[in-house]
Amino acid sequence: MSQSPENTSAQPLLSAKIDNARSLIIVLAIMAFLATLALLFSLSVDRLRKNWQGELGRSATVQIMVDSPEVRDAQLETALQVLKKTQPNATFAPLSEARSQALLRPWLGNLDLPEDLPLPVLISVSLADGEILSVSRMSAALGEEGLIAEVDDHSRWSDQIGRSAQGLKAAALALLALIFGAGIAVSTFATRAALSAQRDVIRVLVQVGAEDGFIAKLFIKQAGLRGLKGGVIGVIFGFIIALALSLRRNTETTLLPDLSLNISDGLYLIILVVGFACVCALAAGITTFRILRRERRRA
Amino acid sequence: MSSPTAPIASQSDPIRDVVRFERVGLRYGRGPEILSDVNMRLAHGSFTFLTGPSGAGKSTLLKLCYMALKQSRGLINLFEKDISVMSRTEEQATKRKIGVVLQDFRLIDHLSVFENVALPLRVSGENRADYTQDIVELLHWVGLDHRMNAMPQTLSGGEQQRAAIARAVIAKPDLLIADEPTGNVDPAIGRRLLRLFSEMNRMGTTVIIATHDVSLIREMQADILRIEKGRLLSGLNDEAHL
Repeated sequence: MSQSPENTSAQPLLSAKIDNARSLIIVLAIMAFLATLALLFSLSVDRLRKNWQGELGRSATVQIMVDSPEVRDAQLETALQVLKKTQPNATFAPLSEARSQALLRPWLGNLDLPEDLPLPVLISVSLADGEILSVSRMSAALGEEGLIAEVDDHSRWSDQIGRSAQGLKAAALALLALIFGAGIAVSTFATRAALSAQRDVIRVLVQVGAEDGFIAKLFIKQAGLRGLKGGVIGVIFGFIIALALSLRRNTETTLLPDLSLNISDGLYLIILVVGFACVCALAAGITTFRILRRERRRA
Repeated sequence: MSSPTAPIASQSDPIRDVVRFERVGLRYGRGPEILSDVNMRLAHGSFTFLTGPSGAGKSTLLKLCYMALKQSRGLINLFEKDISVMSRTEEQATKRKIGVVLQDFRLIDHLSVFENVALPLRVSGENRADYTQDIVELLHWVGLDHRMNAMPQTLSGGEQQRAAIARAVIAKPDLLIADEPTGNVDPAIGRRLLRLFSEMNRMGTTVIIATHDVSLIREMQADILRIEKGRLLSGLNDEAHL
């Protein structure tokens, strides 16, 4: 009895059975998982750096060397007037004498300080949003009033934090690049193995007139789908772990930054999955073209 | 008998030469020549049998015709183009004009009979909806319509051979090359396949068949080429070659 074809869509020309797809997808998923953590860490560090630098950039400390404790209040009053003129939108909060003394305890211990010790007057400056701190203008204005003052805009700390954060970010991105490199190597290796295993199929395809591009497309599609599957699995697991870490993060200050997630990270993760699949597909395409050309030269 | 160095498959006035060999030689590495000084012309629309004892070089000669091998010397023109200067794209485009039936069938194991037959059309970028009915009809013609969804490894040798033939002819090639195409089928099916080749030839396909089957050759009014020890002898319907 006459039949009709069972499938309305064409069967895949490459056999999935000899592709070792499952183990490859697991390897790619692990790589995508590590890439996800590296990417989220890098984004988190960058956010933290911006927050720290933003906070430091909006504050400064003015230190005025008082001539003697008797003139302390008068010099403070003069300094505040001068500062309000130079930074009219900023808030100035002078530290009390007791607070100034407390700041010395880490160095001098709990000693009773002599009353005539000329402690400097410290004024904390908080800038309004968008307001730019002018250290030179402040120093000059205070100097004109005969005050010996030093304005610290925290740039030394800010720069150090920035450099440290940039270092961490660069390390995370280097790790990401390494993982992508490993993805290329895995995909290249898998494509070589697949080309070898499917030699008979390729021989038939070449015989019926398939161009290199046609054959390469088959391997590109296979590797791309494999990369996509591995990428999605790895990113989901990576995201779950990162979410768990961010939920139980330490609120106290620590040396290393905690992972924090942001809605925009989702976009980066989508780009990561697509990029991962593209890298796998690209490696497969290049490998296929290269091997087909080499086989042709041998023939 | 024609000169052994210049045998000509068809001496009728050809529209064009589909295959032309001039002093073609083939050797593997530094070994002896397997084919020597082969001169051959297959005119457009000709039907040719290639005969000769086992190991004489029939399959090798056919491999040169479908570009599975490259000659060590001499000139091979396919469709009036020198194959040695063809680009990869031209080479593959030329292959798409050639249908090949091989002794080992080369069906793809993980594809059904239908998909195996559809292969040349998929490679040519044809739309599945446009060719489905053609394949069903062709499989009916070769007696495989009831096995179109079967996998090759479940087919008998004869069925595999018919599937391979269907794959070779589905794209209506300009040149059909068959290496012992009736070797595994019963005489009735063999005659049916020969009718298929003859019908294709009538529609303009140039056909060359390598065979030992004398009865097959006698059934057809066709040109005959004989190859012995890598050298081509020729004659037209020459009983002496059989």
